Amino acid sequence: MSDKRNIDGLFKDASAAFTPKAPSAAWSRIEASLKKQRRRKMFLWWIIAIIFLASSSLVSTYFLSNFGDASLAPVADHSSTKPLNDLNNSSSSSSISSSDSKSNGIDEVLQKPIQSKTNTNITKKSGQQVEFETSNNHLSSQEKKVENQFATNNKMKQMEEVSESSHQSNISQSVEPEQTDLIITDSDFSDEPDSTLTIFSKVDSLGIKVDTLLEHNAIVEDDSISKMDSLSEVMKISNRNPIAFFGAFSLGFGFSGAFYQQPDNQISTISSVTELDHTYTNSKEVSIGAYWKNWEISTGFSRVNLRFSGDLNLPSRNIKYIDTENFGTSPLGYFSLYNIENVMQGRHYSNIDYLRHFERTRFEFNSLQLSFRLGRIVQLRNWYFIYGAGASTLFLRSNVVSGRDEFGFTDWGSVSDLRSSLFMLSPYVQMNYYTRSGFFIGLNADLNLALNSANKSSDFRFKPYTFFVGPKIGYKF
Amino acid sequence: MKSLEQIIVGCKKNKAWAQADLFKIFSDKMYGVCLYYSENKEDAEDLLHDGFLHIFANIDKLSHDNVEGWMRKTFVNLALMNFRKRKVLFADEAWQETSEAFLVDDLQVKFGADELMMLVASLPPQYKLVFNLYAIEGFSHKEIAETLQITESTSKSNLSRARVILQEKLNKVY
Repeated sequence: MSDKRNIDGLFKDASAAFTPKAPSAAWSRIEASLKKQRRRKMFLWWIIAIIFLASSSLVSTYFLSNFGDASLAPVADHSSTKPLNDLNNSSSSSSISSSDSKSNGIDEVLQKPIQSKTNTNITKKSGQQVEFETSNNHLSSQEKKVENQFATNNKMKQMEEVSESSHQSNISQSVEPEQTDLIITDSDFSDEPDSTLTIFSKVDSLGIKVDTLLEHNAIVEDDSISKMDSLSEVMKISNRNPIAFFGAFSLGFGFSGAFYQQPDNQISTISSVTELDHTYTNSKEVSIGAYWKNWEISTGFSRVNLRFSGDLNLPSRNIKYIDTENFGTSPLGYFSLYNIENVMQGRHYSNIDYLRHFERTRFEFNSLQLSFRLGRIVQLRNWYFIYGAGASTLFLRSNVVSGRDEFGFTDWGSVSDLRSSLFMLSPYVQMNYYTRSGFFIGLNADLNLALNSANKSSDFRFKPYTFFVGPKIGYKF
Repeated sequence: MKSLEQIIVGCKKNKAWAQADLFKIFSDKMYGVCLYYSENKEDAEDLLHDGFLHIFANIDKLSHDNVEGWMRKTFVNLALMNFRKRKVLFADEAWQETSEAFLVDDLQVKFGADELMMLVASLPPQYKLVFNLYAIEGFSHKEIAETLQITESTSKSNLSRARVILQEKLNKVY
């Protein structure tokens, strides 16, 4: 037994003292393998970063394309086509009636989105005449006969384009009537029995779609208004995704903090219904986190304040309600503000048309977003790449709609059709350049994608999203 | 050269200089471990290469001060994995004296550490493994049996035969 122990002990002692020289080429081989591993890792991160940036760009481009100058509303979507036979049902001497009257085919036509300023494309049978009235000549137009000639009015500018095809002919008119104008259009296409009346939307010189049906004093009916497409399509947005500023600190023993301030975002809008002069978006975020090895975890909250203000320029008659989706749009996405009359208490106006009495309107939304994030830190020399994702929920704390009437009184209410909370997914990437301690700089990109729509309807096409990119400066203790 | 603590911190941050320093400090000792558990120098070099890569990749798991012990354990585990992959058969039947090919002929009269380890290296693989685990690493037969997926009696038998061989070789040289 003792021999066994002696042998075991002998060899154990020998192993402790056994230090052969490692082959000289061993380190070179290991070093080469390490470099290969690093290259493979970096390649993977590049792929992830490229996929993220590409998908972010695509998402942004997709949403922005709905607001761009040149890519506004497809014309076909906003056109209304009516067989000309309907027009023939009306007498040749019919006049254009007010919206109170629905007795003939002309009225039906007028309930469709009609252009009175530009690009009114009309295809009709020979000899058919149509008068477009404005409110001031409304009564007189009731008695006015349709004449077989183009009306010439020294206050009216016309531009007519005629295009013909085998089955259809169009007349495009560009007119800028004043309120006293009587616009009469006519065409003579006797050989076109299947002609149709086609009305296109106007795109003005700025590339903004203007639906003239909703122009001030235009003739409209509830039905027409409710059919109006998104007002966001007539909004011109500038500086949608501004650079946000980030500040950060790292305490060096596992804790970090950050804040960011997004500069005021301005949205200029032009619309025949709402002339929202400007929109401000103000966002502030504070977060605190911890990091351990290659992981970071953080939580924080942000406050987002949206303000829209401007003129609400509504049609003068027959307005019962504005029932359009996407009344507003902002860097936080789309907000549906419909059935406004339910939330705004008119001072002494009836529900029928009180909205038109407001000269100035203002919408303001305050929200608080709580977020939780988990990220992975990848270090490459002095560069630290952090990528991760999180979840957040946004609570709408308050929303106020106020309007000032012609007497200077102000009414206010709130938009009842907004969701009180949104749930969001938030992928993010950061790139920081650190030295051992001291100031560091970086770049931060955040994407917040809402999982539900901003309004209470079941239409999930309008999920808000935000995308912020901004420089970052911080201090590492 | 920086302290071992600094080197470990550097390795955890994936610093190349720290990895080189760690290799310099422990390469010889770990190469010795590799030789115990390998059949030839080429296998030992492969094990040294794989072992250090594994250590650099998993150094975050090092949570105590015994760096050498942790590294040694890592190398032994890797060697055992390789051993299992090779599916070496452990004989449970009566042991027969192996051929002279396993014997080291050029042992020095004076036994140094190198010479003794060469004696161990000359053992058949299954005996060498059990002997190393029991006598040098301090495993129990139960642990050896679990690690190598053999019975305890097989472990005991292999150890016994390894001792006999070593004893005979020592006697022969004397």
